[in-house]
Amino acid sequence: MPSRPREVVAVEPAVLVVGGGIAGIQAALDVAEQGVHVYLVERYPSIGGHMAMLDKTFPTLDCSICILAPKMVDVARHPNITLLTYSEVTGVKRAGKGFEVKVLKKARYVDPERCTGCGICSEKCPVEVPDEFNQGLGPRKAIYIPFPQAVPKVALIDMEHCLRCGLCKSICEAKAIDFSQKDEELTLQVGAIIVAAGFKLVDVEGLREYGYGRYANVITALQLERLINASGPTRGELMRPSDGKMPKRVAFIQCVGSRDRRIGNPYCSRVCCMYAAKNAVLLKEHWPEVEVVVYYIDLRAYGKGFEEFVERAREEFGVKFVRGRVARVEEDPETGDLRLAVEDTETGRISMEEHDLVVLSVGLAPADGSEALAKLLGLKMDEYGFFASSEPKANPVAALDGIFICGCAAGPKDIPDSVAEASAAAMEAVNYLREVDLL
Amino acid sequence: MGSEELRAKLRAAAEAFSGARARWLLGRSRHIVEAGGLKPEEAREVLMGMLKDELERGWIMSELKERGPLTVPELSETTGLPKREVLRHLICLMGEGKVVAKGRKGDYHAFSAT
Repeated sequence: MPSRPREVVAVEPAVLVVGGGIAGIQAALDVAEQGVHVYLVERYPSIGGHMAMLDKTFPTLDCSICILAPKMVDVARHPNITLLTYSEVTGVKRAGKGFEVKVLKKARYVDPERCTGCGICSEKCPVEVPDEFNQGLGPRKAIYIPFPQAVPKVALIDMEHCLRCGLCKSICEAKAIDFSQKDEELTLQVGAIIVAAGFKLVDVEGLREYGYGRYANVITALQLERLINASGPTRGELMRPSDGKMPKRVAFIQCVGSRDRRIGNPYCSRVCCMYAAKNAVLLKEHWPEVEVVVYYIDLRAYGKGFEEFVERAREEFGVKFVRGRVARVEEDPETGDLRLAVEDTETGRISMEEHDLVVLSVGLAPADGSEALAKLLGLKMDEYGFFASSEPKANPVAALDGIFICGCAAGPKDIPDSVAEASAAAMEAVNYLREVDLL
Repeated sequence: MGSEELRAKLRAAAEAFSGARARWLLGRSRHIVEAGGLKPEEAREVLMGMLKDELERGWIMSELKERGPLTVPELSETTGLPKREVLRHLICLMGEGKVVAKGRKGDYHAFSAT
């Protein structure tokens, strides 16, 4: 391809951040604070990512959204950040000293300039759809604001489920509903790119032995986070999905979809031991009468204050940790209770354990679309599909000239590690702009 | 159909149609079918599903108002709806602010109309 002379291409001294979870948010804020313009592209209708769904963080038990929401608001208000939500990167090519990036901005069918975020449209909308943010445990509407602290706090219409009944349009006082809105393609000129595309949970429906999807009372840890969250679908009341019973004997099964060679995920997801210990403590703190048992292969409490937290869970809160592999889960169809075949890996004995709620500590996998994004950017992926660093030891956030990676896109990690990497990637990106004389 | 059951169903229908959702859906049903977002038979199916939900929720609301607080198994026994469906309806009604989970009966959460 004949390339244009480098000098002619007007590359902006700007940085593209792909992904608006905690890593992308931190990277965007840090770059913007250096006086450099940022385009933050998030494919979902709000920034916030998985951290917005968590009830509390470990090991400090801080309210997750309370830490995250101010950062989300800072992103929206920062004069150096252009926030592009409900948008996807569809093309990247090197141009001059930087990149030309195509972004598809999907139609929300709601004018963001007019929408006040009052939520009356979604209150009145007759169409109910399982709410992704609440992990399917409650409903959302066809016109909706993804969650109360969403940024931007602008409604959108899910056209796949909308009936075109027109109720929202007839009641919106701000006249924000616009069924004629079209997707837009934007072209951005940037000097550097930070990939913070995050992760998804391993697909547990494929792991039949745990009964997820077949047995109502087998749920994921992320579902539990929503179930015990005060603004969750049950307003923080712990009730099991089959019949609204307050569970009395809860099991956490560790390493679901992690350290599992059968499904090609032999890696440790790094966060599950601690989020299980955290969730176990939250259950005991709210409902001391509930018995909580964690079935684990190894407990990996490697971080600052982690080991102490697990000890507190055990000693102070009475959480029972059993070193054992759960071979299968069976349901009593009459009661919805579950029987776990547990092999005690210390004694080799197999026992049957009764529980009335089972929580799967599901591992982390590369986000959907990671492979396509890697192709667009010309990046290498590791053997499990996470983005690979070009200098794993000396500069873990470097991926390619002008492209940096951070957070769970580069491999499973917890929130503080994601934030630290994001700040490092931001610094590297700004340094890169200086090196190529864009700043 | 026994007269008690008939009365319960009428109460449920009255409850459902006192809400804006069922009335709007019925009033707009022709427009929705003609709007072409869905195929006509799909639109009819979706509408029927929604009206069924509204009637079931109406039944649950009238039971809660008359005899609440009630648990999921109690509501399931009265209405004949599966427990999981009853809970799904209760969660939707909680979201609309019409129902609260307050206190317990035995091991089960008890729900009341607000």
